[in-house]
Amino acid sequence: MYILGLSFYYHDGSAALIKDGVVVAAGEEERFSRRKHDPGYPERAIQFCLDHEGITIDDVEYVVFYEKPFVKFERLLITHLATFPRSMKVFRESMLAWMQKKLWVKSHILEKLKIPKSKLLFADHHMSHAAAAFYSSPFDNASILTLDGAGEWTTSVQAVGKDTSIDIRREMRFPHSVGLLYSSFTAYCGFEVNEGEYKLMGMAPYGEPKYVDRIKKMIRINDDGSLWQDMKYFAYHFSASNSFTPAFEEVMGRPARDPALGDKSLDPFYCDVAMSIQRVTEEIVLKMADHLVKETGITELCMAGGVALNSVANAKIIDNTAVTDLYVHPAAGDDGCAVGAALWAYHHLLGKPRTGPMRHAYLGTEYNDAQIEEFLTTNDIAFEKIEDDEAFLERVAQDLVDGNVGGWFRGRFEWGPRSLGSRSIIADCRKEEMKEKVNAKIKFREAFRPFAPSVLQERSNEWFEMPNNGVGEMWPARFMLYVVPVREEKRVEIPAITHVDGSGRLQTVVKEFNPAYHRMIELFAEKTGVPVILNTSFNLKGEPIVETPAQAFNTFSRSEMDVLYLRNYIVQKDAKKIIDSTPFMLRPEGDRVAEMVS
Amino acid sequence: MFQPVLAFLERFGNVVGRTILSIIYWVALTPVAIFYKMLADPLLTKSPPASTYREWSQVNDTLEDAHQQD
Repeated sequence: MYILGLSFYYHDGSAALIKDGVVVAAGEEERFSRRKHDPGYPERAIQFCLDHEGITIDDVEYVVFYEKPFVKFERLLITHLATFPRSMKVFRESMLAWMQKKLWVKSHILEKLKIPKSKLLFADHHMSHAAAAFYSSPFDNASILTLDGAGEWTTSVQAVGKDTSIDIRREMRFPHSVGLLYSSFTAYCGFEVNEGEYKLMGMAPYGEPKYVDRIKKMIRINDDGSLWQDMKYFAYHFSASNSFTPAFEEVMGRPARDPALGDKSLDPFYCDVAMSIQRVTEEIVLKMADHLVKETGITELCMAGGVALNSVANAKIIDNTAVTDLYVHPAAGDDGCAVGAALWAYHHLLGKPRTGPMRHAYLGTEYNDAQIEEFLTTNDIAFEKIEDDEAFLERVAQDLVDGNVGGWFRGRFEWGPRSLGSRSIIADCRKEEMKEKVNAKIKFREAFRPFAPSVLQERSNEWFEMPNNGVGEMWPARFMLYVVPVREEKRVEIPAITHVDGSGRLQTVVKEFNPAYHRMIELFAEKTGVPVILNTSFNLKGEPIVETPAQAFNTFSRSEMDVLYLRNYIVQKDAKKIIDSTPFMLRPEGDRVAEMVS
Repeated sequence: MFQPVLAFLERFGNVVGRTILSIIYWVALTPVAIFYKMLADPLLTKSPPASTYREWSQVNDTLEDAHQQD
């Protein structure tokens, strides 16, 4: 039985296909449309999912949309009434969007897919998050915590998953939201909402948590972890363009950082603010998690929702709460709801048995040798092919040792926002200058942002202080969802991936699921004694991660990468040129506040 | 030739749409909003409760429920 899950019209439109309860294909529309965080109907992603299985939409039993549009619309109307007359502008903007598109989700899907009404189902937004986390986890029973900006009304749920069913116990409702609180500080520190949250997290270690008390003047964290925000300090519920009010700036003691500054100044004040809101977020997440597992008595925890991408908080859960094991869905944001909606229908609605965990995130498109060679020859690009895998991987490892930065394109692309060794830019993390080179000349992004390490899973605890001392599967680390301290004695050996506070957002590489990448790191370790390389997503700032060989080649050509590895095909930098027929778009800014909450 | 016309019509439509929505806001929403704000606090803005958790009230456990958009 095939079920197609869809998530769109907010941000990160996505499609996912499950077959008898197993996720067989999933992808974000941005990878295909080349528009970062593309919120539109995921036409190309759907087609990819169907093509992957060689089926048509007629073979799909159900199509499941990830939320209930009318409930969200009700929330908007009530919010407009409750914030009258300040909500005039946002009413106008959001109603236009709803009248033109969002109210007609059902008819859009039926018209586009040409399916009967009986095949179309609607899940609840946070149930989709909960289902993505629980049904793809290894746990038969688990406590479930979801946290994001806002779904229909819900901003967080606490639930229990038992075998095939999920029982949501309680919810927190808009406008009280950990995600929107964090986004408000993202905007205050001069970054775009729904885009700059990673930057805020990367900036935090440069500061001290000096302003926790000021933040706590504007919120209340209850004993059960639930959050109440004094809405006189926040504006996202009535403003189309602001997340916070002048009173917020008064409490914080300084006006908001000018977004035009970008990364040009790392003012210590805003770094301290970033660290302060990080600490507050951690306090909330830890309290929520601890309260939930103590109440349910089930100490395995599943998490999803945009806040679950806060890898710093994730890594503190096991060592600071009663939680004994943690699973975070690799696409924890709204993109992951496509998987969640489909799994919810299969298990919760239809009562079908569980099929085992989602052990890896390699669910996207893949290109074979013939397709790569055709692209290279058609475009007259000089290349070298090393047929033997071992010799090829040996060559890659040696290139890294020699100081080259490479584009690595191999296998199915990753589900979720992180590159995990299928579409990655890789470099030697022993060289401190690599951080600046990759940030400034290759990614063209903020100089303060750290790079992630890929480490052999079996050796991760030697180099990093893993939660629970590295015992267990460490699921979030597979999906680059833990930030942990680099062991103090190792920091000097891997400076390019060690952040200013001595931490690293690591990916543990499992041999079974990415053998070539794993072997290449092994060979690198044989040469250097270091089983760790620098891994960052294969894109430029503002560009979606590359999907095709042509996009990989174009991004390679537009940057100062030294070498490109398209499977076993090697392209050197003197072959660089731009393939004009390949679309290339950069997204200059994030979402407006009106888009963030509606 | 049609592109500029379509672009103009789209802009015109947006302006008209915004104008109509502004009128709806001030004429239709105003009386409802005034009373609503006096009687209800759906956003829990007035005083902090001991917990902002509330019981989950959505019912969506059958195929019939799942066909609904609300």
